Amino acid sequence: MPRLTTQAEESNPKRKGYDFRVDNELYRSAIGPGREMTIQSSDVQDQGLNVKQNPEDFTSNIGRIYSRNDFSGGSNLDNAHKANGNPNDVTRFWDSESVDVFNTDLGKGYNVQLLHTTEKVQALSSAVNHMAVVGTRIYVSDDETLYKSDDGGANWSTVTEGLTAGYQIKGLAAHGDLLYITANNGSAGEIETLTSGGTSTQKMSAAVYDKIFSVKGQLIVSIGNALHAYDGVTTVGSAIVTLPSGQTFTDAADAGAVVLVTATDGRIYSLKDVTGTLTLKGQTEISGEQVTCIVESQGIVFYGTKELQTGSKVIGRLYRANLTVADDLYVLANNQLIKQWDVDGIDNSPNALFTTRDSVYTGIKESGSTSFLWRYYLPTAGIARYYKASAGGTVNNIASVNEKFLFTVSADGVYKQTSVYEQEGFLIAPPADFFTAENKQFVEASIEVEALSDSNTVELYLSNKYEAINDSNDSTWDLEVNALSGVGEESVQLSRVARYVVAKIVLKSPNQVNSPKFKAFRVRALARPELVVIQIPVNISDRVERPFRKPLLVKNLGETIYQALKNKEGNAVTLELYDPAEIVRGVVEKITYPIQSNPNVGSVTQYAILTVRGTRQETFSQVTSGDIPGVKGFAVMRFA
Amino acid sequence: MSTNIQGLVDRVYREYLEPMDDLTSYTVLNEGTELSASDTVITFDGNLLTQEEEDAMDAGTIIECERELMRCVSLDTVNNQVTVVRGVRGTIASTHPDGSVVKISPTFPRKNVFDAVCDQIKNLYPTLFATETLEVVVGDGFTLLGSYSAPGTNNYLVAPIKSISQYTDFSANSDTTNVVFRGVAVELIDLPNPFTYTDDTSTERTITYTTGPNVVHALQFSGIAAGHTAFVTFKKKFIDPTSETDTLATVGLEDEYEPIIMAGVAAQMLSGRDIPTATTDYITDQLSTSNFPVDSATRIRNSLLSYQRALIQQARKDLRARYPEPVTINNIVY
Repeated sequence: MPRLTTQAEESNPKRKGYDFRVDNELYRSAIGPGREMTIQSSDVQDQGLNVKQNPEDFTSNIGRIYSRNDFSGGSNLDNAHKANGNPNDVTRFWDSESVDVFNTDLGKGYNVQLLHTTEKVQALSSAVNHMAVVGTRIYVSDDETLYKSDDGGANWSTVTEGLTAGYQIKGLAAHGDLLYITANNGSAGEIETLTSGGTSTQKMSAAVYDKIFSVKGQLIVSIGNALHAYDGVTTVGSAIVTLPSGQTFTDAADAGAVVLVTATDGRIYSLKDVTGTLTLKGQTEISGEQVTCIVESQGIVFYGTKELQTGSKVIGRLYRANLTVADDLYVLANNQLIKQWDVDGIDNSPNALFTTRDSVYTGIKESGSTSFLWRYYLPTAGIARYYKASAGGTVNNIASVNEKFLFTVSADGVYKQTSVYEQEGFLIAPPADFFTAENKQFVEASIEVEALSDSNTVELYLSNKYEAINDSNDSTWDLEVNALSGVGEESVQLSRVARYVVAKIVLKSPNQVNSPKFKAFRVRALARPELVVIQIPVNISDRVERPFRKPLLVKNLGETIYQALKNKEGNAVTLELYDPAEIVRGVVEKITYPIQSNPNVGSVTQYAILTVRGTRQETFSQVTSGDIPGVKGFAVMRFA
Repeated sequence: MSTNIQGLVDRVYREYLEPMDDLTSYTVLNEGTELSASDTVITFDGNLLTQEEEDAMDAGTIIECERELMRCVSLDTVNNQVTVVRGVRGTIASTHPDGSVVKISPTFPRKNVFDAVCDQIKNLYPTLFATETLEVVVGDGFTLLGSYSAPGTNNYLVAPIKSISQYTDFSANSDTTNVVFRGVAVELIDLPNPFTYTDDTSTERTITYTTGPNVVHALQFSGIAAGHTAFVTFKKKFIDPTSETDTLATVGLEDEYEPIIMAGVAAQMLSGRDIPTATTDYITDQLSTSNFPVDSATRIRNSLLSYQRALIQQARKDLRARYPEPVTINNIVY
């Protein structure tokens, strides 16, 4: 019985007249007049997804356009196209810095522009800082020292608060027109009030008072690991909650039905006003984490946690949750992680939350030299990096006075929003792949901006490296569009073949007087016709026609070939054509019943048509050091 | 130009039957030593074959080594060996040097081509003929050509074309001054084969030819004394080749007869054959370069034969120019 020739027998099959291989078996074609081989690219299909609800527009003749004109959905979207996405994804992006993406409710057309810078307005030497705003006066403590500003944080002065010498300020609470101060030296403490006129009065000195909070019109004060109600005068009630030894309370917030108090034991305690007395009514445990701060806004509770690691690293997390009541117990339900910060060697914990009408802010130390406010935008539930302080420290306090943000960076200073713009900011869009895992030909890109002036520019950088999103300075970012004036919209021709395209938009304002306003970008791609259908007439006669040799009959060879091919129907195979050089991995769709043709008298050709559908693979023309399995080659290569 | 029959056979393959891009599948003997005439296991070089070509050497297939045909009995693809029956289809088992070409199912076996060459040479006569000039010492009566011990190929002689003599004793290195050659009347006599005679020592001898025409030849001179030397030129049939090592000169072929033989062999071999397109094209090209294109209505074989006729005609003119027909009266050539 004749054998099928395999690659093991023929080192150079093309020279011996074999026209293609299926897996490792070599075959001869029966290509001739009337029985041509066809290689047909399959049309790009719509994948059955209704992409027209997204900004992407799909047509068969112009390819696909990946565009974005709204980024108010916030950051942290790592893939523009995924099957389990939601409609908000079309307004989301991956990362940004120094650009404001949340301005959809300002009564003006949406755009992205640079944020204002911040400046240090008061130096702080201690890591123990507190801030309280009484009316428009801002108080900031620094160890034993208390500073105040009456002009929205522009100028600061030291306040003579009358605290006992050596007492470190542990808490500030604005309660009506008074500022309550708790201070201690570790073994003794006091509570003082400070009037707007600067008159200080010692209210209590019976215990080592720690933090003080003004919530729901009442004051609560922590003494060691216990929390007490305080009437604001001379009476501290009995302990409402007592924590395990060594644990402390960190923050408190009025959540409407109850007061929520956070503690380092990983719990959020719910205190309900029962006939004028705050009573513990349940708690929520965030296991494995210490709750550091809490705030309520528009019925949603936000809280930050930290997870201690060995060394100086602290993982920070921001959650949102809903307050629910069950059996007269108030607990947080539907806890959802908004974002986690996890940078090695850095205390990434959020330590303060601040809420405005539409947003919730927290502050994160991101490196040894930079700290950022992060903004959670309530209308879209998106989060993005916000104001930047050029100092690395935990942000323990955030406030807004006179439409300007202020926040403290521990052991560094009080930072205040200025009126000038950042010189540069960027926004990295999510990698796009048009729902397909195949390479595309990216052919065109453009951006739209509002009319540029004052040397402002908007640049579009592209990378085809998915991981480029992790580093705004990645070496693969290539500047493709640079709008120096006008409104952009001029398309730039691209020549990129890749699965992903990642866009980074950089806004620049050299004079920082005003900001360029970025509106939209788009990248157009054509699908690579990689899915091909190849139909090959295969010689299944007994007649072997080797080049430069007379035809030779090998009895039953045709039947052997035909049966071998028939057994491959429906199987995954690798088809390699030698001329033209093509490698296709796919499926044998069918092998037709044998056909006989008799083009020349006395010469009968029996053939069958093999149909393989699959995707094109890289072919090797010359062997290089890169052509090894796992580098450029998938698995099998041929040394010609 | 060829010097022997082997060269002529190779030319036929090269120029007509097997162009370089249309060879019969072949390999070579890889015995490491000469293949004896009795060895039935042949080791071949597998690198020259595809797997299908190897498989084609399965039982029943005829392979060829030189002019011997062998029938395959079994195939060992692991050791590249095939077991054969030697010397089939009228060929003779013989030794073959290591490295000899082994063809698989040859379309044009070398044995056939050799036989066709022989046929074509034989068939050239009487259109064309060989010539031979003999130096004969005129006897008292008839002069027998050849001897009992060395009959030669005198039975292939057909007729004297001319005969000359000095009418004196001729000796080598003699002075040629005043020596004149003149025509001699001579008649070729056909004697029975074998022919018995008594030689000058009164011993009875028999001259016998076992190959070629069944005749013994003698000459009868007129008008010349016995003992004189005459030079007689004969029209002669071509000698049948018996081996590829036979030279063309031995056979009696002129150089210009080679194309005639080749065209004739090609026509003979292609007659009735399903020849591949490649070979058809090749022969057509060959004929075109010989100013004898194959027209659309003419089969290649006919064209080859027409081409051969044209060549023969040319050769005949040359022969007539060199050897005009002699004056013959009563079979005596003057």
